[in-house]
Amino acid sequence: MNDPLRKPLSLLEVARFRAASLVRARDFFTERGVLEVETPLLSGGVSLDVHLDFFSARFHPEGWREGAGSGDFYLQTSPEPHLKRLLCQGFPDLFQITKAFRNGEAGLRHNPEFTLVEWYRRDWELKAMADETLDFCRLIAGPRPVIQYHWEEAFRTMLGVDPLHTDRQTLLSRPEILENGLSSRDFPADADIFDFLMSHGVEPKLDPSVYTLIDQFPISQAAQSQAHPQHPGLALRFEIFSGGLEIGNGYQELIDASEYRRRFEDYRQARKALQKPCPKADESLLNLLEQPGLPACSGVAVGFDRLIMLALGLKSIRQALLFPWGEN
Amino acid sequence: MGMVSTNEFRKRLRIMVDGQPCMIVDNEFVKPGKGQAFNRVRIKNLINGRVIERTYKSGDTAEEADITNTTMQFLYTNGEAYTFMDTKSYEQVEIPKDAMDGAEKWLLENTECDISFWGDKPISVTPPIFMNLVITYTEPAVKGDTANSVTKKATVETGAEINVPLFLDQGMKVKIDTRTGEYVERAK
Repeated sequence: MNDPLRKPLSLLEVARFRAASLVRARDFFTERGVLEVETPLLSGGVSLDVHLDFFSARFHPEGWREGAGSGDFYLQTSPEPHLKRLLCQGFPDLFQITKAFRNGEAGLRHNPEFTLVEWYRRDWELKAMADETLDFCRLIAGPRPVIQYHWEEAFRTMLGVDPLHTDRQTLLSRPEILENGLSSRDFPADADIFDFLMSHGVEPKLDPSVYTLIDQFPISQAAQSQAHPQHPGLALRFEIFSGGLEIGNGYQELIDASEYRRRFEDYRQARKALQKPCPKADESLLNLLEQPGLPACSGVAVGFDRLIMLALGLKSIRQALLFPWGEN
Repeated sequence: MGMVSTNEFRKRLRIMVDGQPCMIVDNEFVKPGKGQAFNRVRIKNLINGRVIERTYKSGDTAEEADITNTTMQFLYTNGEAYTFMDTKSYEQVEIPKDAMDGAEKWLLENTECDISFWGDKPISVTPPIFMNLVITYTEPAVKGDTANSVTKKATVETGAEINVPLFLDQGMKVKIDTRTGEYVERAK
Protein backbone atom coordinates (compact mmCIF):
# COMPACT_ATOMS: atom_id res chain seq x y z
CA MET A 1 0.00 0.00 0.00
CA ASN A 2 2.99 2.30 0.52
CA ASP A 3 4.31 2.00 -3.03
CA PRO A 4 5.56 5.51 -3.89
CA LEU A 5 4.95 4.88 -7.58
CA ARG A 6 1.28 4.18 -6.96
CA LYS A 7 -1.07 6.69 -8.51
CA PRO A 8 -2.65 9.05 -5.97
CA LEU A 9 -6.12 7.89 -4.97
CA SER A 10 -9.07 9.87 -6.14
CA LEU A 11 -11.41 11.39 -3.58
CA LEU A 12 -14.06 8.88 -4.62
CA GLU A 13 -11.69 5.96 -3.98
CA VAL A 14 -10.95 7.34 -0.51
CA ALA A 15 -14.70 7.78 0.12
CA ARG A 16 -15.36 4.18 -0.95
CA PHE A 17 -12.61 2.86 1.31
CA ARG A 18 -13.94 4.86 4.25
CA ALA A 19 -17.46 3.57 3.64
CA ALA A 20 -16.29 -0.06 3.44
CA SER A 21 -14.19 0.44 6.60
CA LEU A 22 -17.21 1.79 8.50
CA VAL A 23 -19.18 -1.30 7.51
CA ARG A 24 -16.33 -3.57 8.61
CA ALA A 25 -16.03 -1.67 11.91
CA ARG A 26 -19.76 -2.00 12.68
CA ASP A 27 -19.71 -5.71 11.78
CA PHE A 28 -16.68 -6.20 14.05
CA PHE A 29 -18.55 -4.84 17.08
CA THR A 30 -21.94 -6.34 16.24
CA GLU A 31 -20.42 -9.83 15.90
CA ARG A 32 -18.84 -9.35 19.32
CA GLY A 33 -22.08 -8.24 20.92
CA VAL A 34 -21.00 -4.63 21.49
CA LEU A 35 -23.91 -2.17 21.34
CA GLU A 36 -23.71 0.92 19.15
CA VAL A 37 -24.88 4.13 20.79
CA GLU A 38 -25.00 7.79 19.82
CA THR A 39 -24.09 10.48 22.34
CA PRO A 40 -24.32 14.28 22.06
CA LEU A 41 -21.76 16.18 20.03
CA LEU A 42 -22.89 19.38 21.76
CA SER A 43 -23.19 19.31 25.54
CA GLY A 44 -23.05 21.54 28.61
CA GLY A 45 -20.17 19.46 29.96
CA VAL A 46 -16.84 18.59 28.42
CA SER A 47 -14.08 16.13 29.19
CA LEU A 48 -11.42 17.92 31.22
CA ASP A 49 -7.87 17.52 30.09
CA VAL A 50 -4.91 19.88 30.45
CA HIS A 51 -3.93 19.88 26.79
CA LEU A 52 -7.24 19.27 25.01
CA ASP A 53 -8.94 22.46 23.91
CA PHE A 54 -12.59 22.58 22.96
CA PHE A 55 -14.88 24.64 20.77
CA SER A 56 -17.64 26.37 22.67
CA ALA A 57 -21.05 27.58 21.51
CA ARG A 58 -24.06 29.32 23.00
CA PHE A 59 -27.70 28.25 23.07
CA HIS A 60 -30.34 30.87 22.19
CA PRO A 61 -33.72 29.60 23.38
CA GLU A 62 -35.43 32.92 22.61
CA GLY A 63 -34.04 33.52 19.18
CA TRP A 64 -30.54 34.44 18.21
CA ARG A 65 -29.24 37.80 19.41
CA GLU A 66 -25.65 38.99 19.54
CA GLY A 67 -24.24 38.65 23.06
CA ALA A 68 -27.31 36.83 24.40
CA GLY A 69 -27.90 33.14 24.85
CA SER A 70 -27.58 30.91 27.84
CA GLY A 71 -24.53 29.16 29.15
CA ASP A 72 -21.62 27.67 27.37
CA PHE A 73 -21.97 24.49 25.41
CA TYR A 74 -19.09 22.47 24.11
CA LEU A 75 -18.43 20.41 21.03
CA GLN A 76 -17.18 17.17 22.53
CA THR A 77 -13.45 16.43 22.47
CA SER A 78 -14.34 12.76 23.01
CA PRO A 79 -17.49 10.71 23.76
CA GLU A 80 -15.85 9.39 26.95
CA PRO A 81 -18.00 11.27 29.52
CA HIS A 82 -21.30 10.24 27.93
CA LEU A 83 -20.26 6.64 27.32
CA LYS A 84 -19.16 6.40 30.97
CA ARG A 85 -22.50 7.86 32.08
CA LEU A 86 -24.25 5.04 30.20
CA LEU A 87 -21.94 2.43 31.71
CA CYS A 88 -22.69 3.80 35.20
CA GLN A 89 -26.38 3.34 34.43
CA GLY A 90 -25.85 -0.36 33.77
CA PHE A 91 -25.39 -0.40 29.99
CA PRO A 92 -23.53 -3.38 28.51
CA ASP A 93 -20.41 -3.22 26.29
CA LEU A 94 -20.68 -0.07 24.13
CA PHE A 95 -19.17 1.42 21.03
CA GLN A 96 -19.55 4.66 19.18
CA ILE A 97 -18.23 5.91 15.86
CA THR A 98 -18.45 9.65 16.18
CA LYS A 99 -17.07 13.02 15.28
CA ALA A 100 -14.89 14.64 17.93
CA PHE A 101 -13.63 18.22 17.96
CA ARG A 102 -10.33 19.57 19.25
CA ASN A 103 -9.57 23.24 18.99
CA GLY A 104 -6.21 24.37 17.67
CA GLU A 105 -5.22 20.97 16.29
CA ALA A 106 -4.53 21.16 12.57
CA GLY A 107 -1.60 19.62 10.76
CA LEU A 108 -0.36 16.55 8.90
CA ARG A 109 -1.91 14.23 11.48
CA HIS A 110 -4.57 16.43 13.05
CA ASN A 111 -7.86 17.82 11.87
CA PRO A 112 -9.92 19.89 14.34
CA GLU A 113 -12.97 17.76 13.48
CA PHE A 114 -12.18 14.08 13.18
CA THR A 115 -13.69 10.62 13.52
CA LEU A 116 -13.14 8.56 16.65
CA VAL A 117 -14.04 4.95 17.28
CA GLU A 118 -14.42 4.48 21.02
CA TRP A 119 -15.54 1.37 22.85
CA TYR A 120 -15.81 -0.08 26.35
CA ARG A 121 -15.65 -3.67 27.54
CA ARG A 122 -17.08 -4.50 30.98
CA ASP A 123 -14.96 -6.66 33.30
CA TRP A 124 -12.10 -6.64 30.79
CA GLU A 125 -8.53 -6.07 31.87
CA LEU A 126 -6.11 -3.91 29.91
CA LYS A 127 -4.34 -6.77 28.14
CA ALA A 128 -7.55 -8.10 26.55
CA MET A 129 -8.48 -4.53 25.53
CA ALA A 130 -5.10 -4.00 23.87
CA ASP A 131 -5.42 -7.30 21.99
CA GLU A 132 -8.88 -6.42 20.72
CA THR A 133 -7.68 -2.95 19.70
CA LEU A 134 -4.88 -4.53 17.65
CA ASP A 135 -7.48 -6.82 16.02
CA PHE A 136 -9.48 -3.74 15.10
CA CYS A 137 -6.41 -1.97 13.67
CA ARG A 138 -5.57 -5.04 11.58
CA LEU A 139 -9.15 -5.19 10.34
CA ILE A 140 -9.07 -1.63 9.00
CA ALA A 141 -5.39 -0.99 8.21
CA GLY A 142 -4.14 -4.50 7.49
CA PRO A 143 -1.93 -7.00 9.30
CA ARG A 144 1.47 -5.95 10.63
CA PRO A 145 3.70 -7.50 13.27
CA VAL A 146 3.33 -6.12 16.80
CA ILE A 147 6.22 -4.87 18.91
CA GLN A 148 5.51 -4.23 22.56
CA TYR A 149 7.38 -2.01 25.01
CA HIS A 150 6.69 -0.85 28.49
CA TRP A 151 6.78 2.93 28.43
CA GLU A 152 10.06 3.17 30.34
CA GLU A 153 11.56 0.44 28.13
CA ALA A 154 10.70 2.43 25.00
CA PHE A 155 12.65 5.41 26.40
CA ARG A 156 15.62 3.24 27.35
CA THR A 157 15.69 1.54 23.95
CA MET A 158 15.19 4.63 21.78
CA LEU A 159 16.85 7.34 23.88
CA GLY A 160 19.03 5.47 26.35
CA VAL A 161 17.40 7.19 29.30
CA ASP A 162 15.14 5.98 32.10
CA PRO A 163 13.00 9.07 32.63
CA LEU A 164 11.38 7.94 35.88
CA HIS A 165 14.78 7.58 37.56
CA THR A 166 16.39 10.66 36.04
CA ASP A 167 16.09 14.06 37.68
CA ARG A 168 14.25 16.90 35.96
CA GLN A 169 17.42 18.94 35.34
CA THR A 170 19.12 16.07 33.50
CA LEU A 171 16.02 15.48 31.37
CA LEU A 172 15.91 19.19 30.55
CA SER A 173 19.51 18.97 29.28
CA ARG A 174 18.58 16.37 26.67
CA PRO A 175 19.65 17.49 23.17
CA GLU A 176 16.02 17.27 21.94
CA ILE A 177 15.20 20.10 24.40
CA LEU A 178 18.39 22.20 24.38
CA GLU A 179 18.79 22.27 20.60
CA ASN A 180 15.34 23.81 20.33
CA GLY A 181 16.05 26.56 22.81
CA LEU A 182 13.35 25.11 25.10
CA SER A 183 13.73 25.26 28.86
CA SER A 184 12.11 24.49 32.19
CA ARG A 185 9.38 27.11 31.74
CA ASP A 186 8.15 25.32 28.61
CA PHE A 187 7.42 22.21 30.63
CA PRO A 188 5.34 23.11 33.70
CA ALA A 189 4.85 19.45 34.69
CA ASP A 190 7.27 16.54 34.47
CA ALA A 191 4.60 14.86 32.36
CA ASP A 192 5.14 17.63 29.79
CA ILE A 193 8.82 16.68 29.51
CA PHE A 194 7.85 13.02 29.11
CA ASP A 195 5.36 13.90 26.38
CA PHE A 196 7.93 15.99 24.55
CA LEU A 197 10.64 13.33 24.69
CA MET A 198 8.05 10.79 23.59
CA SER A 199 6.86 12.79 20.58
CA HIS A 200 10.26 14.23 19.56
CA GLY A 201 12.59 11.44 20.66
CA VAL A 202 10.83 8.09 20.86
CA GLU A 203 8.04 8.29 18.27
CA PRO A 204 10.23 9.28 15.30
CA LYS A 205 12.26 6.11 15.96
CA LEU A 206 9.30 3.71 15.99
CA ASP A 207 9.13 1.27 13.09
CA PRO A 208 6.45 2.29 10.55
CA SER A 209 6.07 -1.28 9.28
CA VAL A 210 4.75 -2.64 12.60
CA TYR A 211 2.19 -1.79 15.26
CA THR A 212 3.97 -0.65 18.40
CA LEU A 213 2.08 -1.20 21.64
CA ILE A 214 3.34 0.86 24.56
CA ASP A 215 1.95 0.20 28.05
CA GLN A 216 2.77 0.82 31.72
CA PHE A 217 2.70 4.59 31.49
CA PRO A 218 3.84 6.56 34.54
CA ILE A 219 1.01 7.55 36.88
CA SER A 220 1.57 11.23 35.96
CA GLN A 221 0.29 10.24 32.49
CA ALA A 222 -2.58 8.11 33.74
CA ALA A 223 -5.28 10.43 32.29
CA GLN A 224 -8.41 8.44 33.25
CA SER A 225 -6.78 5.05 33.76
CA GLN A 226 -6.33 3.36 37.11
CA ALA A 227 -3.05 2.82 38.90
CA HIS A 228 -1.27 -0.52 38.49
CA PRO A 229 -2.30 -2.62 41.54
CA GLN A 230 1.26 -3.79 42.26
CA HIS A 231 3.13 -0.71 41.06
CA PRO A 232 1.24 2.43 42.12
CA GLY A 233 3.74 4.59 40.20
CA LEU A 234 2.45 3.10 36.94
CA ALA A 235 -0.89 3.44 35.16
CA LEU A 236 -2.95 0.79 33.36
CA ARG A 237 -2.83 2.64 30.05
CA PHE A 238 -1.64 1.64 26.59
CA GLU A 239 -1.11 3.39 23.30
CA ILE A 240 -0.75 1.93 19.82
CA PHE A 241 1.45 3.54 17.19
CA SER A 242 2.54 2.78 13.68
CA GLY A 243 5.81 4.61 13.21
CA GLY A 244 5.22 7.95 14.90
CA LEU A 245 1.51 7.89 14.08
CA GLU A 246 -0.53 7.60 17.27
CA ILE A 247 -3.54 5.41 16.55
CA GLY A 248 -5.21 4.40 19.79
CA ASN A 249 -5.21 5.17 23.50
CA GLY A 250 -6.70 2.70 25.98
CA TYR A 251 -7.27 2.48 29.73
CA GLN A 252 -8.31 0.05 32.32
CA GLU A 253 -10.72 2.67 33.53
CA LEU A 254 -10.39 4.47 36.81
CA ILE A 255 -13.34 3.51 39.06
CA ASP A 256 -12.83 5.60 42.20
CA ALA A 257 -15.11 8.66 41.97
CA SER A 258 -13.10 10.75 44.45
CA GLU A 259 -9.95 10.12 42.41
CA TYR A 260 -11.81 11.29 39.27
CA ARG A 261 -12.79 14.45 41.15
CA ARG A 262 -9.21 14.99 42.30
CA ARG A 263 -7.74 14.49 38.80
CA PHE A 264 -10.32 16.80 37.19
CA GLU A 265 -9.45 19.47 39.77
CA ASP A 266 -5.71 18.99 39.01
CA TYR A 267 -6.44 19.46 35.30
CA ARG A 268 -8.46 22.59 36.08
CA GLN A 269 -5.60 24.05 38.13
CA ALA A 270 -3.09 23.22 35.41
CA ARG A 271 -5.34 24.83 32.80
CA LYS A 272 -5.71 27.91 34.99
CA ALA A 273 -1.91 28.19 35.25
CA LEU A 274 -1.72 27.99 31.45
CA GLN A 275 -4.41 30.70 31.22
CA LYS A 276 -6.74 28.36 29.38
CA PRO A 277 -10.51 28.41 29.89
CA CYS A 278 -11.52 26.16 32.80
CA PRO A 279 -15.02 24.76 32.50
CA LYS A 280 -16.57 23.32 35.64
CA ALA A 281 -16.02 19.65 36.30
CA ASP A 282 -18.83 17.63 34.72
CA GLU A 283 -21.17 17.00 37.67
CA SER A 284 -23.57 14.84 35.63
CA LEU A 285 -20.69 12.44 35.15
CA LEU A 286 -19.20 12.79 38.64
CA ASN A 287 -22.57 12.15 40.34
CA LEU A 288 -23.03 8.93 38.41
CA LEU A 289 -19.43 7.89 39.08
CA GLU A 290 -20.23 8.31 42.79
CA GLN A 291 -23.61 6.59 42.66
CA PRO A 292 -24.21 3.95 41.27
CA GLY A 293 -20.57 4.08 40.16
CA LEU A 294 -18.64 2.92 37.10
CA PRO A 295 -18.48 -0.87 36.72
CA ALA A 296 -15.07 -2.48 36.19
CA CYS A 297 -14.22 -1.92 32.51
CA SER A 298 -11.58 -1.07 29.96
CA GLY A 299 -12.00 1.37 27.12
CA VAL A 300 -10.14 2.65 24.08
CA ALA A 301 -10.36 5.45 21.54
CA VAL A 302 -8.98 4.91 18.05
CA GLY A 303 -8.43 7.61 15.44
CA PHE A 304 -10.43 6.35 12.47
CA ASP A 305 -8.96 8.84 9.98
CA ARG A 306 -5.46 7.82 11.01
CA LEU A 307 -6.27 4.16 10.37
CA ILE A 308 -7.44 5.21 6.92
CA MET A 309 -4.13 7.07 6.41
CA LEU A 310 -2.26 3.95 7.43
CA ALA A 311 -4.37 1.61 5.30
CA LEU A 312 -3.95 3.73 2.17
CA GLY A 313 -0.38 4.91 2.82
CA LEU A 314 -1.44 8.57 2.98
CA LYS A 315 1.06 11.10 4.30
CA SER A 316 -1.46 13.65 5.49
CA ILE A 317 -4.79 13.28 7.28
CA ARG A 318 -6.09 15.80 4.75
CA GLN A 319 -5.90 13.10 2.07
CA ALA A 320 -8.06 10.82 4.22
CA LEU A 321 -10.86 13.39 4.56
CA LEU A 322 -13.39 14.50 1.98
CA PHE A 323 -13.49 18.01 3.42
CA PRO A 324 -10.24 18.70 5.27
CA TRP A 325 -9.84 21.75 7.49
CA GLY A 326 -9.59 24.93 5.45
CA GLU A 327 -11.66 23.39 2.65
CA ASN A 328 -14.70 22.64 4.78
CA MET B 1 9.62 44.18 13.60
CA GLY B 2 6.56 42.47 15.01
CA MET B 3 6.29 39.15 16.73
CA VAL B 4 4.57 36.25 15.00
CA SER B 5 2.86 33.41 16.79
CA THR B 6 3.39 29.77 15.74
CA ASN B 7 -0.20 29.72 14.47
CA GLU B 8 0.84 32.27 11.83
CA PHE B 9 3.85 30.17 10.82
CA ARG B 10 3.73 29.29 7.14
CA LYS B 11 6.15 28.46 4.39
CA ARG B 12 8.41 31.36 3.30
CA LEU B 13 7.75 33.39 6.47
CA ARG B 14 10.98 35.09 7.59
CA ILE B 15 11.75 34.91 11.31
CA MET B 16 14.75 35.51 13.55
CA VAL B 17 16.33 32.36 15.02
CA ASP B 18 19.35 32.69 17.32
CA GLY B 19 19.88 36.24 16.05
CA GLN B 20 19.97 35.15 12.40
CA PRO B 21 17.34 35.86 9.72
CA CYS B 22 15.77 32.59 8.58
CA MET B 23 13.00 31.45 6.28
CA ILE B 24 10.46 28.76 7.18
CA VAL B 25 10.72 25.91 4.67
CA ASP B 26 8.28 23.53 6.32
CA ASN B 27 5.99 23.72 9.35
CA GLU B 28 4.49 20.67 11.04
CA PHE B 29 2.04 20.56 13.94
CA VAL B 30 3.08 17.88 16.46
CA LYS B 31 0.87 16.94 19.39
CA PRO B 32 0.58 13.74 21.38
CA GLY B 33 -3.09 12.97 22.12
CA LYS B 34 -2.85 14.06 25.73
CA GLY B 35 0.23 16.25 25.56
CA GLN B 36 1.27 19.80 24.74
CA ALA B 37 1.29 20.97 21.15
CA PHE B 38 4.47 21.93 19.29
CA ASN B 39 5.36 23.22 15.86
CA ARG B 40 8.30 21.44 14.27
CA VAL B 41 9.69 23.75 11.60
CA ARG B 42 12.45 23.41 9.05
CA ILE B 43 14.17 26.73 8.61
CA LYS B 44 16.77 28.00 6.19
CA ASN B 45 19.33 30.44 7.47
CA LEU B 46 19.20 33.27 4.95
CA ILE B 47 22.85 34.20 5.52
CA ASN B 48 24.62 30.86 5.26
CA GLY B 49 21.87 28.86 3.52
CA ARG B 50 21.94 26.04 6.09
CA VAL B 51 18.65 24.26 6.78
CA ILE B 52 17.96 23.18 10.34
CA GLU B 53 15.00 21.85 12.32
CA ARG B 54 13.62 23.72 15.27
CA THR B 55 10.69 22.99 17.56
CA TYR B 56 8.52 25.74 19.02
CA LYS B 57 5.87 25.34 21.67
CA SER B 58 2.57 26.09 19.94
CA GLY B 59 1.43 29.58 20.86
CA ASP B 60 5.00 30.85 21.38
CA THR B 61 6.19 33.71 19.26
CA ALA B 62 9.20 34.47 17.13
CA GLU B 63 10.47 37.83 15.98
CA GLU B 64 9.75 38.54 12.36
CA ALA B 65 12.94 39.13 10.38
CA ASP B 66 13.26 42.55 8.78
CA ILE B 67 13.78 41.30 5.25
CA THR B 68 13.03 43.43 2.22
CA ASN B 69 13.53 42.61 -1.44
CA THR B 70 14.47 45.21 -4.01
CA THR B 71 15.09 44.97 -7.73
CA MET B 72 18.47 46.51 -8.53
CA GLN B 73 20.60 46.90 -11.62
CA PHE B 74 24.20 45.66 -11.67
CA LEU B 75 26.59 48.50 -12.58
CA TYR B 76 30.21 47.39 -12.11
CA THR B 77 32.64 45.56 -9.87
CA ASN B 78 36.10 46.34 -8.55
CA GLY B 79 36.70 42.64 -7.95
CA GLU B 80 35.93 42.78 -4.23
CA ALA B 81 32.54 44.45 -4.20
CA TYR B 82 29.67 44.66 -6.67
CA THR B 83 27.84 47.93 -7.15
CA PHE B 84 24.10 47.90 -7.83
CA MET B 85 21.64 50.69 -8.39
CA ASP B 86 18.03 50.86 -7.25
CA THR B 87 16.08 51.38 -10.48
CA LYS B 88 13.51 53.59 -8.72
CA SER B 89 15.54 55.72 -6.28
CA TYR B 90 18.86 55.56 -8.24
CA GLU B 91 20.51 54.86 -4.89
CA GLN B 92 23.63 52.72 -5.14
CA VAL B 93 24.79 49.90 -2.85
CA GLU B 94 28.01 47.93 -2.73
CA ILE B 95 27.65 44.23 -2.06
CA PRO B 96 30.71 42.35 -0.85
CA LYS B 97 31.72 39.30 -2.89
CA ASP B 98 30.87 36.77 -0.15
CA ALA B 99 27.25 37.99 -0.05
CA MET B 100 27.02 37.46 -3.82
CA ASP B 101 27.34 33.71 -3.24
CA GLY B 102 28.05 32.82 -6.86
CA ALA B 103 25.45 35.16 -8.39
CA GLU B 104 28.27 37.32 -9.77
CA LYS B 105 29.23 34.79 -12.43
CA TRP B 106 25.98 35.45 -14.35
CA LEU B 107 26.01 39.24 -14.28
CA LEU B 108 26.35 41.53 -17.26
CA GLU B 109 26.24 45.28 -16.97
CA ASN B 110 22.62 46.43 -16.36
CA THR B 111 21.38 42.94 -15.37
CA GLU B 112 18.46 43.35 -12.98
CA CYS B 113 18.70 41.25 -9.82
CA ASP B 114 16.45 40.65 -6.83
CA ILE B 115 18.39 41.68 -3.73
CA SER B 116 17.36 40.76 -0.19
CA PHE B 117 18.26 43.08 2.64
CA TRP B 118 18.22 42.24 6.32
CA GLY B 119 17.78 45.74 7.70
CA ASP B 120 20.39 47.68 5.67
CA LYS B 121 22.56 44.67 5.09
CA PRO B 122 22.36 42.95 1.70
CA ILE B 123 22.24 39.19 2.32
CA SER B 124 21.45 37.64 -1.03
CA VAL B 125 21.46 38.43 -4.72
CA THR B 126 19.21 36.48 -7.09
CA PRO B 127 19.97 36.95 -10.78
CA PRO B 128 17.24 36.44 -13.42
CA ILE B 129 16.35 32.74 -13.70
CA PHE B 130 17.48 32.68 -17.35
CA MET B 131 20.42 34.56 -18.83
CA ASN B 132 21.37 34.62 -22.52
CA LEU B 133 25.17 34.75 -22.72
CA VAL B 134 27.73 34.57 -25.52
CA ILE B 135 30.26 31.74 -25.53
CA THR B 136 33.73 33.30 -25.44
CA TYR B 137 35.69 30.09 -25.48
CA THR B 138 35.04 26.42 -26.28
CA GLU B 139 36.62 23.63 -28.34
CA PRO B 140 35.61 23.84 -32.04
CA ALA B 141 32.11 22.56 -32.80
CA VAL B 142 31.49 19.00 -33.94
CA LYS B 143 29.30 19.47 -36.99
CA GLY B 144 26.09 17.54 -37.21
CA ASP B 145 26.22 16.28 -33.63
CA THR B 146 22.99 17.75 -32.30
CA ALA B 147 22.60 15.38 -29.35
CA ASN B 148 22.35 17.18 -26.02
CA SER B 149 23.62 14.24 -24.01
CA VAL B 150 27.31 14.58 -24.83
CA THR B 151 28.77 17.88 -23.65
CA LYS B 152 31.95 19.91 -23.52
CA LYS B 153 33.08 22.84 -21.38
CA ALA B 154 32.42 26.39 -22.51
CA THR B 155 33.26 29.77 -21.00
CA VAL B 156 30.67 32.52 -21.39
CA GLU B 157 31.11 36.29 -21.52
CA THR B 158 30.63 36.72 -17.74
CA GLY B 159 33.48 34.27 -17.08
CA ALA B 160 31.26 31.41 -15.91
CA GLU B 161 32.07 27.91 -17.14
CA ILE B 162 29.21 25.65 -18.21
CA ASN B 163 28.64 22.40 -20.08
CA VAL B 164 27.24 22.73 -23.58
CA PRO B 165 26.41 20.28 -26.41
CA LEU B 166 29.17 19.55 -28.93
CA PHE B 167 27.58 21.42 -31.86
CA LEU B 168 27.99 24.84 -30.22
CA ASP B 169 30.80 27.19 -31.11
CA GLN B 170 32.53 30.34 -29.90
CA GLY B 171 30.46 33.46 -30.51
CA MET B 172 27.12 31.65 -30.21
CA LYS B 173 24.61 32.73 -27.59
CA VAL B 174 23.14 30.24 -25.12
CA LYS B 175 20.29 30.34 -22.64
CA ILE B 176 21.37 29.29 -19.13
CA ASP B 177 19.30 28.42 -16.05
CA THR B 178 21.11 30.38 -13.31
CA ARG B 179 19.53 28.28 -10.52
CA THR B 180 21.36 25.17 -11.70
CA GLY B 181 24.03 26.68 -13.96
CA GLU B 182 22.84 24.40 -16.75
CA TYR B 183 22.59 25.02 -20.48
CA VAL B 184 18.95 25.17 -21.62
CA GLU B 185 19.03 25.87 -25.35
CA ARG B 186 20.69 27.91 -28.03
CA ALA B 187 19.58 31.55 -27.90
CA LYS B 188 19.21 34.06 -30.71
